[in-house]
Amino acid sequence: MKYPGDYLQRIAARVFNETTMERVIGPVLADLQAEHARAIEHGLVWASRWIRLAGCVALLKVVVFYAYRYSVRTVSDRDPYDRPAVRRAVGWSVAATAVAMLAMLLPVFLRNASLTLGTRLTLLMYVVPSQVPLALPIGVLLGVPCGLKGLLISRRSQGVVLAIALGCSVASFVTMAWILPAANEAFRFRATAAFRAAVPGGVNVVKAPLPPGANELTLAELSQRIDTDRRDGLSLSGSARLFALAYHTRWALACAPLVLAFFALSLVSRHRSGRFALGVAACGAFLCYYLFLYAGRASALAGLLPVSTAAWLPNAMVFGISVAVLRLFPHRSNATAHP
Amino acid sequence: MLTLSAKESLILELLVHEEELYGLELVARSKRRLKRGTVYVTLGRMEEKGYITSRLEAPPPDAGGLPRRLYQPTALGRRVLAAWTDAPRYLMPEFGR
Repeated sequence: MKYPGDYLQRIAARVFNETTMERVIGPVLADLQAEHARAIEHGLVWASRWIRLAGCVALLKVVVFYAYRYSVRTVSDRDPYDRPAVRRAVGWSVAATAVAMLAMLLPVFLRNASLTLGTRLTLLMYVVPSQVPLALPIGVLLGVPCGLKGLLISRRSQGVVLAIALGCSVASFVTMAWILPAANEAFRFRATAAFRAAVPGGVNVVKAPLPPGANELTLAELSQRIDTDRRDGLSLSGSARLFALAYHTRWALACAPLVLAFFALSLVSRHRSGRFALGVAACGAFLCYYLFLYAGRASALAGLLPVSTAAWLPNAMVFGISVAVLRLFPHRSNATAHP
Repeated sequence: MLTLSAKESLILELLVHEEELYGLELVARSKRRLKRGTVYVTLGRMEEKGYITSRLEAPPPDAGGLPRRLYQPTALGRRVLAAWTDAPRYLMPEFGR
């Protein structure tokens, strides 16, 4: 004879261990069957159906609460050294990002010596959004190995570092999708006005404002432009490729912090080296990343590679190397357990 | 460290009062303060903590299906509940008495 919940019990038995089945799942189903049998005995057909439904919902809630409780216990049983490890990784990443930003902004500041200090600082503010998507991956890639060097890294620490990297990816995406195009356009207008004012006879020297380029269009505008080019049969032209490349590169660059954090974690969890060696390895990886990015860009613009492949090539390469490191090298077990 | 949540305290009170109950009876007697979706997880946790113990009910000869699980308080559970109920009296003597 079949009883309500038999099928659910068989499924649950595949997922949960014996103790959970005995203490949590079993009582739910036993009470459901007893209540259902009583309703059937009294001829209450609709009540029995309702009991069956309520019992199934209760079982689902039990499974969800049990899973939640298990996850809460995992959080509360965390390693006391997890927090300092994550804090160190974040600290190093923030410092590396700041240094990278300064290193990229300084030439921009020094280049326009003919402008006043106030104008140069204002123009610098417009350049900051374009440096964020480049500085964040550098910060993550250098900061994570330097911060976690020599520590025994728990799965939880790795998860937190990846979650922070995901946050950086989202910030990078938001910057590139909406803030960067507006900042680029504003920079162009402001710079044109500043040069007109600074150069004698600048009105004649500086040309009239140009239509917005690929870096001044939002993602939606780029997508619209790509569709228009495709509809007009211009998708293979140079400018169409440029717009398509800008679109795909923004998505791919936004994922860079996450992919590079994964690479840094694979490096630091498998390789026992000093901070300098890890820093050199991270810098090497970063240079390779940008080498692939620019080589892919050149190949795509020359028509040798599909645009999307060229944009995603660096991420795919770094991800492949990270997986290879995790597979080929044994887990580092003799690291110090605390900072 | 021994801890007792509000739900655990309610379950212990009901069990101390009734001696032995099963999950749905606890839900019914709690006047909607316990839900059937959460009571079993709480009961499982209390059993792990040692506040309650359980046994399987002997199934009636004509009925099939799974045997129901009956819960009863342990000595530790009774002591924890007593300490929990008495605590306000020691902490706030002028209000507790």
